[in-house]
Amino acid sequence: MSDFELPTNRAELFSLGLKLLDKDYFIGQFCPENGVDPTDLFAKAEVFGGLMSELRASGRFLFGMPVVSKPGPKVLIEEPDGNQREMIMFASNDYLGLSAHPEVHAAIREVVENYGVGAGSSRVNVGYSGIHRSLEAKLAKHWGQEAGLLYPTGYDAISSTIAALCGPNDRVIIDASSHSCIIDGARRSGATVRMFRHNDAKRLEAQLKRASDKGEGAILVVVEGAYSMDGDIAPLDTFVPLVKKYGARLMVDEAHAIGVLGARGHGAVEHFGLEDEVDLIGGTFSKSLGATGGFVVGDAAVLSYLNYLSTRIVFSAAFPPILAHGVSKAIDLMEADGGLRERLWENIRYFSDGFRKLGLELPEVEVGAVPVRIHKDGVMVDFAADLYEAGIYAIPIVYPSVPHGRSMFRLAMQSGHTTEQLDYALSVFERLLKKYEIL
Amino acid sequence: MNAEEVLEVFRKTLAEVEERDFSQITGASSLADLEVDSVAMMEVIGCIEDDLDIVIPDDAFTGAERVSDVVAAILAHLPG
Ligand SMILES: Cc1ncc(COP(=O)(O)O)c(C=O)c1O
Repeated sequence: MSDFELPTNRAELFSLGLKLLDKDYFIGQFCPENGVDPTDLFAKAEVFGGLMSELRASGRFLFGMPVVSKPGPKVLIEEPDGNQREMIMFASNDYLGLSAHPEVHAAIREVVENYGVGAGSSRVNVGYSGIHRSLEAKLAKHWGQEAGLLYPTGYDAISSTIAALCGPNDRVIIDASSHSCIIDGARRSGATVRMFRHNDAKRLEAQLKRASDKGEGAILVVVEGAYSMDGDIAPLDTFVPLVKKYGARLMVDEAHAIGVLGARGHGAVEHFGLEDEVDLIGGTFSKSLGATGGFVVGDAAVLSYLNYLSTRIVFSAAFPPILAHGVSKAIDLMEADGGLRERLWENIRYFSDGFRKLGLELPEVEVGAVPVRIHKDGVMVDFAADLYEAGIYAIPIVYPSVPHGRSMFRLAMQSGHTTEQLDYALSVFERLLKKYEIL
Repeated sequence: MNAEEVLEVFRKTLAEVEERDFSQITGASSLADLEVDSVAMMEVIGCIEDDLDIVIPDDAFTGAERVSDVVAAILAHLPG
């Protein structure tokens, strides 16, 4: 057993809880420092579980509470005591509200009788259905690429593509703000991994130059189209010529850009008109497309290689064909728009202007989430708890997700948020920003 | 390469990545005082690995508190 005593101060308890979500810290530092028995695999889990129960009981750990209503701008959350609380949602990536769209539901109902729920196996076995094939063809055609390839999730699409394409002689160059799937794929590949300062073309070039001077294997640059935490988009128009100059390949993960950027919502590559310049485009259906599953579009031969050599395709069942049909409908709705993206952007502008009027410094928001920077780490727990009490579901982002002193709330917007909901949220933020002396 | 030369490489690379002056740092300087976040530090170390043609495992820097700890870890991975 551990001789560790939990902090009694709830802010310390909370920040410890967040630190513990970093497994390397927990196993590498916390456990040895606190005498957790290293010869028992479960001893650490007991310590961890005890801490998490205490955090949840404190009502100040807002992660993973069950939603018990339809997704949307307003949801019901079930609290540990069974009480249900209505909340305005600012933490979902279903930017366009397509998860709850009646036409998507109708599309799924249309095929469920004929296709069942599960795919039955990996797609290289018998898990590949006619619906999957149609969706791949649609993705290729609409994204202006030769072919499309589906993966069980977006994480799989990105991580497995990098891991399958690159090997120990190669180099993967990634942005410092990269999502875990990019880092994981790069590490799994065995390639040398280099990071460059977020969105900084000069630092990217410094890494490209070093890689090319080494002249060993191939170079793959992976960036995200939109960075939902930083609130900005990758300057792909600057990156593309650099990548070409050093003979590297470029892959863009459009996870947070789909549905938000580009004339038809295809993402940052479409936004910059670079469909013919980027080597691979990957993405997820789990955000704006309101479902789950991932994809890569690009050169047909490359996708065939990936199909057979991506461990996440070969050794995992394909995602349900009925969902592929729902996603196909969601793509139609996203592209036709019908005002969904326009309303999302109206909301992003209205909300960020609202924060500016309160006196908060906010750079232009280029993505679907408004980053409200609080900077004072010490007030975040109480601030988050007050927001929760006021019926606002917002995720506090604190160290180690961001460096010390850069705490923030990431407020994910939806097309469906009403002006009343946004005004109410702004009034709550105004009160709390004053209470915690941020304004 | 000796410790002083490695320290100079560290200063130069920090300045390149952070675009600030690090000429005043010594082995005794605390890493926290440099105000370089952990991701930027990874970028710095990566550049040093390339420039000195060495590979340093991530865990070589576990527990490093002072600049001299980083210099020692780099020295330990230099050939010869
Ligand atoms: C940049 C990025 N890539 C990939 C993913 C993973 O997508 P999925 O939820 O489909 O696994 C996410 C989602 O968190 C993401 O933000």
